[in-house]
Amino acid sequence: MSVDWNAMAETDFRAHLRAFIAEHCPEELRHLRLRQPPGVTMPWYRALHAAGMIAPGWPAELGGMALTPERHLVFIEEMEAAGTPWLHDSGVRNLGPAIIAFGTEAQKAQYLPKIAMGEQIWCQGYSEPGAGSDLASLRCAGRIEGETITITGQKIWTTSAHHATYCFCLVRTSSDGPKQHGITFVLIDMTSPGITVRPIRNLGGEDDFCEVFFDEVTVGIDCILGEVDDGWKVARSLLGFERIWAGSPRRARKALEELEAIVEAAGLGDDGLWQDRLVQAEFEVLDVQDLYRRFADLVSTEGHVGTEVSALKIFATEAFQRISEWSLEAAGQGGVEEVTPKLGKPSPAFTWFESRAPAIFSGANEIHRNILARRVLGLGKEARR
Amino acid sequence: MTVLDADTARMIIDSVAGYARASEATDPLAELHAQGWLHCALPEEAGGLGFGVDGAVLIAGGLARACRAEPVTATFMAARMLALVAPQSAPAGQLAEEGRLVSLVMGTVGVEEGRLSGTLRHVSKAEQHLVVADGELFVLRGGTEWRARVDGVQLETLALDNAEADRIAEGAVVAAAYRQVRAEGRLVIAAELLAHAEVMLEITLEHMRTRQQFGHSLGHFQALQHKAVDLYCAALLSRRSGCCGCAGGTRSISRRPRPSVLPGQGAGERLRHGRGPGRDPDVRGAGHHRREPPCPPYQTRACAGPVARHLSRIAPYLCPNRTNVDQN
Repeated sequence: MSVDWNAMAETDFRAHLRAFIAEHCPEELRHLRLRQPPGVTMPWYRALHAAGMIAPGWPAELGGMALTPERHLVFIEEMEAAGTPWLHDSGVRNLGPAIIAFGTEAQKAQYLPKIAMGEQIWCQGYSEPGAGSDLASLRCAGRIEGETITITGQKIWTTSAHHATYCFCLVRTSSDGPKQHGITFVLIDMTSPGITVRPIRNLGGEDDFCEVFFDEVTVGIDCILGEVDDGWKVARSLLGFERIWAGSPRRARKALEELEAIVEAAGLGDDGLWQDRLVQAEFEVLDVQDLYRRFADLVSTEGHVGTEVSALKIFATEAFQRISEWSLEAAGQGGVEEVTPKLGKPSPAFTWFESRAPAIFSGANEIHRNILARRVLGLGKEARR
Repeated sequence: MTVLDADTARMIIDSVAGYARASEATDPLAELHAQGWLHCALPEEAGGLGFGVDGAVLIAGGLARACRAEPVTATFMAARMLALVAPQSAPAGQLAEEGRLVSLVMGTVGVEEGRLSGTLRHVSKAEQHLVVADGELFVLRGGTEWRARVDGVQLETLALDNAEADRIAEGAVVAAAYRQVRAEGRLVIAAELLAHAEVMLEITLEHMRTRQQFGHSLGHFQALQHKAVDLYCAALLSRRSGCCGCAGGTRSISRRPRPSVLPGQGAGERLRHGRGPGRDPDVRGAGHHRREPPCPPYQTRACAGPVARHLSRIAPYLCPNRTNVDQN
């Protein structure tokens, strides 16, 4: 029996979530700064699924909670306040909405239940050594022969590929016409012969990123999502969702809480400069929050977002950076003594490192500025409206 | 006080846009008075239009796009103060019937036997000034020694030494109204400033599209494109804040005001218990009657540039209730 979560009073909804978290999410999984391997977090994932709460944004008939944007934010707030672990949920968060929008009935039946159950862990095969922010320049090749498509090439910065069982991937199936044309969206089983995954350690000491090599990897054409050569449309819709996710206020809000704690611990609470910065930081978080809600609302009513979502991505990620820089400054020398985060303690150096990546992933902010300049403000020779 | 619906909002936007597009007024004050915009905040029975802050935001924002908002914004606060505590007073009648300007003066003065002492600085040009002192509202006659600021706005310093003043309201309602009017005034001023900023952004973008340098338009160069995008994002966020502000404090600083907001409190106290203007429990305004009022007019039919068209296009999801307002 599906529950109408939106009809529930907000206080009841929050109380329900808190009780559920208290019962099902072990203390040792709370407030971890790094994403844990699936083996550690999967029991919590499955508990959410069993309670019908793993897919807040999916429609109810597909096993989702069908939350409104406001209610979705409440969901996120409660999860973050309790420090629930970061899940390997790219399938739920990114791919699921794309399958719902572009998938055949067979694909929906084949993938969505397994994604929701946690049987499939998905990674996103988009960026390549020569095609990151300029994604449409990708060269990883897909060759269609009869009922199969054979993939050869390399992907990079693929989050959690070493844990993933499946990869949704963009491959080039044609070189004719504009570079956005001829791209096909393929769903690939990571156990297919010819796949090699190599983790990359980042500046923050995590090895969440990977390189993925495809050497004549063959899958059926029923693994193509959307039309052949028209995968850019699927990718763009998914990027829109991803950019909203990248524009979530949660990182900036978390950084603000850390800044408050550091300012108080450093005895700077009565200093006018730091009061001013705290207020400025809160303004920024509120701005991100407002804009995020509007775009999230647009997704729920229109099913897609426009080019303007780039503004959200830019502002959210840069607000996170600004606030993390203030935290590091407020912490002084002590802030850089220990980079590894410790439970319940501010970790300004870690947060600072953590804040660098969002301005690059989901398309570097410089690329988003290019997009806004050309397509929204009508600047430059490629301008079009 | 009326609560604006979409049709009324549209009517205001169209009227203001038409006025702003017209040739330079020969007597702007008289024309603004004839339109009813100077005293729009006064109740209808006092000769006004009964508008709240949302109406004033539409008017001030629209006029500011033509750099013609100055007396409206300044007068709104005084008219609103009169509407809240002394709608039938002489200054209210003179403003509504004759267009005699009234200003609300911010500052601290002492009262002794109904006479005021102290110095009030940066006083706007008006025939009469409203002054709040010791929880009472007084009316002072305007001075004559104006000095032009660098932008041409004329201001005055009033040195009061047992100056005669008429008391027109008293009691707790005066202090509450004063807080409310200041909060609303911030929104109206913000609307005016944002309109100026957007006009400047449009001018900048037009220049970047047309000015050729090194064989290309300026807008071709990435460094300038990125600066333009940052300006655009700032305007977008400001407009969003303005929408929320008009919506009656759906966003507000929940814990900390700026140090200047609550003078007299200790800094630590402010940090712990601070309230933002949008959450002042004494504030009552048009926006408090519903969650999302019609959006301010910055990018409506009054605007003609490509940025304005774009902003109009995205406005519905910035302010959903604008959907009934022209989006073209």
